[in-house]
Amino acid sequence: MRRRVFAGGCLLVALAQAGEWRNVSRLPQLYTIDYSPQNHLASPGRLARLRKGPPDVFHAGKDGPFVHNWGPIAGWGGENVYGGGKDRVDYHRRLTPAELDARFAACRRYVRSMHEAGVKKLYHYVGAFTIGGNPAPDVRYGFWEFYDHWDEYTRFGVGPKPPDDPMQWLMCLPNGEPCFIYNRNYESYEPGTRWAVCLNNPYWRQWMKAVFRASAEVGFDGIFVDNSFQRCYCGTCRAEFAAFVKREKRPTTELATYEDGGRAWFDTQEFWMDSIARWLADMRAEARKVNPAFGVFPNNGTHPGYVRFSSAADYVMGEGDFWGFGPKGFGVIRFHKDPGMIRRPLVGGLAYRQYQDMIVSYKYTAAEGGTPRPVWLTHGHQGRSDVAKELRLSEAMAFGAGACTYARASLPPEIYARLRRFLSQQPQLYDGLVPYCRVGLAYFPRQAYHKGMRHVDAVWELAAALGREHIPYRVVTEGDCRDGDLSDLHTIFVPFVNHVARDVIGGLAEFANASGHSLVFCGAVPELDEAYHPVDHETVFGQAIAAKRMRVLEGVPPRDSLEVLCLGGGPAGPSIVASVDAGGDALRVEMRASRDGRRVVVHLLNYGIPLESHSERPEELRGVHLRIPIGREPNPGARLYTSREETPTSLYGEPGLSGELEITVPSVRIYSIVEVSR
Amino acid sequence: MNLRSAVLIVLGVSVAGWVVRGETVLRHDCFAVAKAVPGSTLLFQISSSRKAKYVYMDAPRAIVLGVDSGALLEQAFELGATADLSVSVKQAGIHGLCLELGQNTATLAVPRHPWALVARKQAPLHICGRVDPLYFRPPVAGKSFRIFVHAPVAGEAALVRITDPEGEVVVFRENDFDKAVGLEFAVAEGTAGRDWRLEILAPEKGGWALDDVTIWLGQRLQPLLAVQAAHLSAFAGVGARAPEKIRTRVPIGEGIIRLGRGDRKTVAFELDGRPDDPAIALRMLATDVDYRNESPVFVNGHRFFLPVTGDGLTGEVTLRLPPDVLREGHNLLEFRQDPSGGSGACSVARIELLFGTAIHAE
Repeated sequence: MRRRVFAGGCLLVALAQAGEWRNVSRLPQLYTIDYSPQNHLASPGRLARLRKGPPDVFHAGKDGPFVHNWGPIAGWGGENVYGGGKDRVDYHRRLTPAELDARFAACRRYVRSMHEAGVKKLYHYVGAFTIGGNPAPDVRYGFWEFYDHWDEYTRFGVGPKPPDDPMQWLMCLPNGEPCFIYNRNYESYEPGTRWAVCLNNPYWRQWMKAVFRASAEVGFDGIFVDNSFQRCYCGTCRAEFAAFVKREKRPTTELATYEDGGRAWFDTQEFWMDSIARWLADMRAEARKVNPAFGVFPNNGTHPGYVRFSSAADYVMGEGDFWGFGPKGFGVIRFHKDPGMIRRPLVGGLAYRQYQDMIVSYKYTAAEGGTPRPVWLTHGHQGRSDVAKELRLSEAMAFGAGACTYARASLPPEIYARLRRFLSQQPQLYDGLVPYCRVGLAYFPRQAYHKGMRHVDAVWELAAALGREHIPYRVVTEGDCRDGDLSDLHTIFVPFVNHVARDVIGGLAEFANASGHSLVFCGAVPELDEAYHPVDHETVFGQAIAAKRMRVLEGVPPRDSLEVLCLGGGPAGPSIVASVDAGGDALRVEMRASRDGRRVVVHLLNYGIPLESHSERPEELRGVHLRIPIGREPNPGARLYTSREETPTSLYGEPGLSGELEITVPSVRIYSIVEVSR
Repeated sequence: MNLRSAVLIVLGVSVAGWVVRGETVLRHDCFAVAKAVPGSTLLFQISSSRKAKYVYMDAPRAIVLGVDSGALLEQAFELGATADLSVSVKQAGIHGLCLELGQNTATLAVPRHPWALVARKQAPLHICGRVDPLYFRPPVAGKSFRIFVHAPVAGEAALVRITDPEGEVVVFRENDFDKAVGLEFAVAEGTAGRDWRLEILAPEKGGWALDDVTIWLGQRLQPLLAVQAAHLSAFAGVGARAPEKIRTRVPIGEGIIRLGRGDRKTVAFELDGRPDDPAIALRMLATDVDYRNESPVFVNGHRFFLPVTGDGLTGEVTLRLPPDVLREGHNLLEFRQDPSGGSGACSVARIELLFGTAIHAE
């Protein structure tokens, strides 16, 4: 663990040398998903609408030269399951090579017109493992029809016809039967079936490399790879697994099942995630032979696998958090909920307000750093009002991940235009800032591979409690503990972890053994390390235990004890940075600062946005009193921004008794930002 | 009442006056309210348990709400444990409890304070396999009320019995309740404001079992179900709405208006003059709406939205109208169904304009 040097009298911000810090914020990007099958026509009306507020990233449907699951076909648009809707008659029709030439030309025109409309990056859809069709000798429908005519397409770069029939490419269960990740039968696939192929199969890789290369040739900026999953026990995978465990010096020898559990199951899931990452990297490398900036954008929804994607992907999507495969085949998935408030009236004026957010997901991605930008989708069933959409966009902007602010094409382009203008005028509120806090929340998503979902639940619980108490925190990753810098923190909460790697335990111990720090284990201290060997707490944490810098709580601490726990052993100063006259439970605060600590940016979000209701009015958030610990400064300047106002307004700040600046923001409608400069 | 709860009541009354360990097994999100005075200690005793053999990973959690709806205490607790949540009461009035149990179950007791379970559409009561007789008090006689019962899991069902204070059984219905059913009953003179009993019993039909059942009281009932009828006195009048004062009702259109995705249908009507009533509203029977823009209603071009329920039920909807929306002579009412992919179908019937001084609207 590397030490950082505290900047002057500042309590919280430490200097970081360039490149050392994982948690440096990035300017958010604007993103639109639109699977309309008419996209490729790039109609004048559609383009005119786009020009009003073009997104940085436009994510289209199956609009590339080849369609991953069917081959060269006539149909356009949609995702895996889409098969042309009512007009499906012609959708799966195999194109002749001459018709395919025309499709390539149409793709070029489409890409050009989208770029001219202001779209910076145009991605289209593929699925990572799906093929559709019927292999029966008397049917040979879909992908099998293409396979039978493979040689007709060699001039499009598909390579020599694979000797193995695609039935030999399928993912396998341990007993050798084909593995289906999703349903096998869909009306849109008839008279075929939806098959799942193995990402490690060399012929699937050959075909998909052709798909990627062709997309780069016609000008696409990247490909969105849906369903980036792998769960296979085929011969290729068994051989690849042997190479993987040797490469990574792991003890497991055979692919395991959920029922096996233990270290072998952990390694198996890690291998599958590694297979996906290598597949993505290979596909991107192939496309980059044509366009060196070509990107990949997997949809895996995974926190546990995110680290492996950091070098292989440019964007990562999550529709819900995928926590590995469960006993019934498909995985443990929890779908994201729209940010905002569910209000349940009880009796009289009494009501229960449930606030939902995805802050941990954004903070985790920011903490991991790396190239990818996240797109954390919600299903959008709850928050369809414009104010709910605006909160969703604001949340993506505020928490440092450089996230793609997600919206379907239905979002009025004026809102996009306004956000785009705001981001271009005020990039300093988002770009290059580090967390300004002294509380860490250990979040090790790979605990799920050890069946440790209690850890995940507890992280979300603690994050919610810290958020409601207005205690700024940052997510501490395994990487932070291994080789990052924790010296800016006073307290780290470590909820319900077990099977933690030795170097991660070492990082936590080094933190706790240093004076001024406090390590709070919720649940228990890890009993076993990642190799399932016992951890000797007395030896590892001896110094911290002796100095009473380590606490072990039975569970997640109650909300009213957080303030004291967060004080740790560090210098005095407030743990809680905001109090609110009205509606305080709805406020969430994110604090970041420039690396020299001269500039502090406080993001204020009102989650009192009614969901599941016809009301568009946010619940009032009035009188937000901030205490920003910036040290004693004679004349700090403070400005208040909202994305709705062209220019910021000045705020009056008063120095507090213990070196913090006290500022009152009169109200927060949805999203306001306070910037303090010294 | 079975022997165990009878014993517990005897023990409870003898020891603390109010103690009853409820037999009602709660699941998912459930809510309760209790009335307390300053200086007292409000105690919620929660005994959690796993459902069947499988241990769901949801961590049970409880939140105590103050009279201003702010959270006074939040606590997660271990499955299988009994958790005591106590708060020192600073402000007199009704406090709330939210139980977030996930897939696990719990029973609840509130010693020393009058309490009741909440059962309203937005905060329904989820019971699981076992439930005490529960009491409620209809506010007025001469009207009919509804209690909704829903047991969506196949093979799960219930026998519902509602008994009036005179001991007369007014509802006795066994059903699979796969879709929510509103059980309607009339309140006879002399029985309003008194203790009515709701029992959810095991069905008698073979192959059906009592397990997950969701219950909520119709809009015109106070949304509380008490294990002890006497406790309802503490909540008398709370949340009660003054009766509507409607001067006149103007029916609009006839029959049922059915809308598919992207459909628009209009109904024209004439008004003799521009109304000057303080309260004007449009009331209709409508199918549920899943999101705000699914089925907007336009009155002379002014857009209104049906309340989002997403519950698959048809119910009465009342939209308050500003006075300047209507005009003398020709007026136009238009129903639209969202053309986007998320939209379903909608049906509207029994449309009427209401004019008066007090009209209840969502």
